[in-house]
Amino acid sequence: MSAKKTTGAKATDAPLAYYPGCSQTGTAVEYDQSSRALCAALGLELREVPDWSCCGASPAHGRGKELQAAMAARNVELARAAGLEELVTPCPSCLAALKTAEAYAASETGRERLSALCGLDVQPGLPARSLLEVVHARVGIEGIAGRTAHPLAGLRAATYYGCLLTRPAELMAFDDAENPVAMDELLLAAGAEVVDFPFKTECCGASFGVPKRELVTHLSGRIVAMAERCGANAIVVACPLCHQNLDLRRSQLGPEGKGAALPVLYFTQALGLALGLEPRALGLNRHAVSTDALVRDVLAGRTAAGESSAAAHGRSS
Amino acid sequence: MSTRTTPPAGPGDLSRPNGPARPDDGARDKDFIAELRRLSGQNPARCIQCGKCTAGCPAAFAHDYGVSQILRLAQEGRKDALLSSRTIWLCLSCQTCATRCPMGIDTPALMDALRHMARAEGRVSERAVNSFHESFLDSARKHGRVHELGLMLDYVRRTGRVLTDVGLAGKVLALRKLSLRPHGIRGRAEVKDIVRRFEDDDAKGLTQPAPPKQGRARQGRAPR
Amino acid sequence: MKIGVFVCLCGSNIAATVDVETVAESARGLPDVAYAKAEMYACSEPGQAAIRAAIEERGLTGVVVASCSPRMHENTFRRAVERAGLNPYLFEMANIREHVSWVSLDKAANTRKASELVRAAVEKLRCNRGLQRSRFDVHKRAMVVGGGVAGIQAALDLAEGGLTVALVERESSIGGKMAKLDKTFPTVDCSTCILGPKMVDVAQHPNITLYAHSEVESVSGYVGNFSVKVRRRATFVDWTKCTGCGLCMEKCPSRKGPDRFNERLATTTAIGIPFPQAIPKKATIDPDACLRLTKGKCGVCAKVCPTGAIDFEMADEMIEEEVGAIVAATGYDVFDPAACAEYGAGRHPDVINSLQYERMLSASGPTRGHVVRPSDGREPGTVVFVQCVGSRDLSLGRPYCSGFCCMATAKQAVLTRDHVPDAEIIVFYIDIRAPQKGYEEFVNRAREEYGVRYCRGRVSSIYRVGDKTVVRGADTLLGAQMEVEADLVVLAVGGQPSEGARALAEKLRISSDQYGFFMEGHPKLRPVETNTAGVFLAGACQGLKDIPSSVAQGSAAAAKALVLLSRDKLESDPQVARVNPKRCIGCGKCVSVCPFGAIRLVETRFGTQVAEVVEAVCQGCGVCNVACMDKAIQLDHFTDDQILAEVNALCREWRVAN
Repeated sequence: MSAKKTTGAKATDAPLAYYPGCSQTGTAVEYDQSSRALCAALGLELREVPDWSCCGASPAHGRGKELQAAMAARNVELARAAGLEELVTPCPSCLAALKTAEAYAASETGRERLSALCGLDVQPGLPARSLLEVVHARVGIEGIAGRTAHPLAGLRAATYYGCLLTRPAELMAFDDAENPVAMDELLLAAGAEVVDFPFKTECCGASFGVPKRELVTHLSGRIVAMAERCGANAIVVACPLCHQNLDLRRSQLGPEGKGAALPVLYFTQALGLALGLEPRALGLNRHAVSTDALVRDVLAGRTAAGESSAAAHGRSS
Repeated sequence: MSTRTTPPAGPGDLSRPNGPARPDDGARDKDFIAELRRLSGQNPARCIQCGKCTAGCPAAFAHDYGVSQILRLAQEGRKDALLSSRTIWLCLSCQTCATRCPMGIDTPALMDALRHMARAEGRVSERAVNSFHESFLDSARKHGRVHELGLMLDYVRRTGRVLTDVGLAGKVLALRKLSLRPHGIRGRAEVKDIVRRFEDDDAKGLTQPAPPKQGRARQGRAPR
Repeated sequence: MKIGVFVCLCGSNIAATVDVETVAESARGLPDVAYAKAEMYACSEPGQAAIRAAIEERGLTGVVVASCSPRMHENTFRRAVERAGLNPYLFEMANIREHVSWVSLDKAANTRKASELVRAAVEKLRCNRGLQRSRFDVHKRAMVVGGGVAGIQAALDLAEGGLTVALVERESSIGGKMAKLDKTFPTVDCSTCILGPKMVDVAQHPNITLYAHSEVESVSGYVGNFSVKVRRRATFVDWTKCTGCGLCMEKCPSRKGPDRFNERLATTTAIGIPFPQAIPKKATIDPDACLRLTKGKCGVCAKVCPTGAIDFEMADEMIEEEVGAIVAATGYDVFDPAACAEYGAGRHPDVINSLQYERMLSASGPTRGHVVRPSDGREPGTVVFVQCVGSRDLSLGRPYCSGFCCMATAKQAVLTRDHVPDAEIIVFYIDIRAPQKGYEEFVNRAREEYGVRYCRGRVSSIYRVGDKTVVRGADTLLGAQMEVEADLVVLAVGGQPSEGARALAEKLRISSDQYGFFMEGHPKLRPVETNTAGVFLAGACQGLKDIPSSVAQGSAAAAKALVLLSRDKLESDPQVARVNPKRCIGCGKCVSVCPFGAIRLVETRFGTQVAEVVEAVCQGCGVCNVACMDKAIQLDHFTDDQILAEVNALCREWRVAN
């Protein structure tokens, strides 16, 4: 098993332009918090894009892809002005917007349009990647395994990638669109167990929680129920919207998922725990579904795993 | 019995009304087809009606027309049915259909274009969805970044709906996740300008609906 | 020279967008043109009669016909002028249909262009000289490449027709895909029972030499005189001694090798005979699985073999075959569904492909004909068939319909009912394609009498939960999604050209289509010929097809080869390269570029070297012509003078016009 392809994120030490995204200033503040903490622990230097603005996300996309591209392009140009060469964002929706900007900027017509809209000289050649991809490419499986101070022996993770991290495949150009494995590999390297989870890329209902909540409660309910059925004791995600739907809206979910006590972790939190970071420093106390029992189990597992080395590697299936 | 047909567990009020089939009026709006092709960069005639999009669509339980039926209506140029359809507003843009389409059709791009056309004609069949998008964009335009609390209040104002997520708000506050004030940025005028310029250009038909290189329907899957 | 020009109207094909009278009129002003006339259909009987009459009555010594592509009718007109007593090479064609009237609607421009092409043809004709054909002997022996049902049929018909035949098969037994099938549609015949006798006939026919476990290494020569090198891959068993007793198979301790005959549903021994009805029924060692050949240990088979046939030192052997015609019948490979990650083939144990299911249904297969879930060996309660996997899929580079899968699925669904009477059987399809005799009726029976549920919709994804395999599909006719918790899922995989088809096409100098299927000479009128004389096609290598069509093509290809080789001598094309020894400096460049090995260097009586063309081998491709710096080698009928005369004529027109 290996994540088949990446856009070519290199194992360099160059600092990364960090684009948090709006959610990470609000309901997903702990994703921002744990992303920064994890990168610091991994020696990845993040420099926040100065005065960054909203990427446009799907509402702008709904008006026209070009609006989304232009709103994202402003941030790409801010990163360029700050002398940075690669953008990283924890949020897949933001990433899609930044990559759309990149796709427009790749052609002369596209560049002209974005320049006109932004009132800037928009240039090509500043790639954007997800934090997951950067950690997978720059730190890698061995890097995580080598830095794992406390193997996640008590964690049986259902890895949930959501829709946008790998799709559309030609735009995102990361991992396998049907069966992504990058997060699985990193968690396995950190000593966790990863269950065979068929809903890795099922949609959670995205931003429809407010205007059409039935979509989210039905779809997210199925995802939580499936994770439980597969024997997971946590869902690990890489998207703030997925987290919001699976965690914050847990009490609203359909009958299948409503009662589940399964906590939902960001992958940054799970890896942070393995590296020995404090749960509070990773924002694990800021979830609607309590992570206490899981963190306790995992911490207990630390001691056990300390004795039996990292024997808990390997998939359950 | 090991099989089931949808809606598997979906709420009943969203399923398609089972009214009698109405005769086709036979009208095929060719100009509409051409405009849809231009806006979406997709050619509906390429669809072989295999139904794989319908089969995999997570939002299908809420749709009035299945995704492949939307493609069929597009082939036939059935403008009224398309622009008044709820399906086009309930597309999650999750890319499942586009990823698996054997003919490489970017159906979400088609849905984008249909929403655009419906909005232009003032025929928004799912007002809440559109209002949420408007509130979201307004928040970004006003502050440069989206302010979640402000967005919600604006949405309530637009829809007149009493906020059903009050319970969540309490939860979010308790977790210290909701900032009460917008986080204004220095460049918020720039963001406002971007949206304004786009709206002006879009009204004139100057915008590029897709990245110029990606305008064509895809020929193959990304390598695995 | 006294030239006659005939401008064809081709009904309205040309006349609608070209003013043919003007073209004829302008031809009358060309040098040496003594006669010009428009003809309704130049190729028709009266059209040809008019050309012959003009030659005879007006003493014409050269003819130009302005009509369609020379590919259509050059031979027709050459024969016509020959019958009137002219040398057939004192004839030229101007293509004013495909190159003019079908290309543009601008009548004035078309008329001008047609006149220019006629002028070029006249100028070339003025440089032509009569050429003489020579005759050469042929080998009354044919080769068939591929021993599936199409190749078997071709070999048997050729042999019955009196030719000797070399049949080359890559696997250790003939039989191809048909030998792996349990039953055939729509008759539900036992596949091996109907194929088996034909396989035995191949083994016993005195006119057939069978090279199994062998491949075509290289091909040289030309129609009537092909020389083919065949690589007989090492079997490590001396087949002259092997009696097919199977003792070696019983005792072989290596039992983990992939069972390719059973489509990897099972493992098998390192030495063995792939199936009981194999022809030849001889053992072969898989060198990748054999303990002796991989690790130097074991050798049990050599100890138990009663005839001492085992030979671990055996090496590949090269055979040279001289044949007059070659039939390519290399068949197809099934699509590997691992490319569709959403279906989980290879990840989910109870998702198999249709050829694997065929082996499962077969009484001689790995489950002895029992339908089971591969995951736990239990009988399935719900069996789902998914159609069009690797067919009708542009994103996989396979937009074509594979043709046979709809019927194969219907047959397998019916057989499933026989094997598991209580099973729930569901087929997800897009369209049912059942156009041959008895096919539609068979599908209807599957629904009506066998209770097979047909759901119209392509499956989106397949995933596994617990011991169930969940199929997420749709019923597009109801406009609803469908989720089925299946026990066994059979992916009806399409086909693709067999591995190595492109390499063989290169060796045979035949063309392939964009997918790699061999190109027939004409899609309607030359379905089993190729554009290389003496090479014929049969079966799925030309395009996917079912058994009846493959057999029909096998017979058709054999008939074509028999017609060709019914003559004792063939006529050579005189359009060959010719060396002017006075200009040749013997550099040898032409020798190195000739793709047919038709040129050699010979010593003159002055001790210098000059090139010499072997006329019978030269194919008239003209590569040497281009390579020769000294213009010492020229292609007859396409000499530099002739080509330049055409070019000059066109350029002169252009200069006048501008």
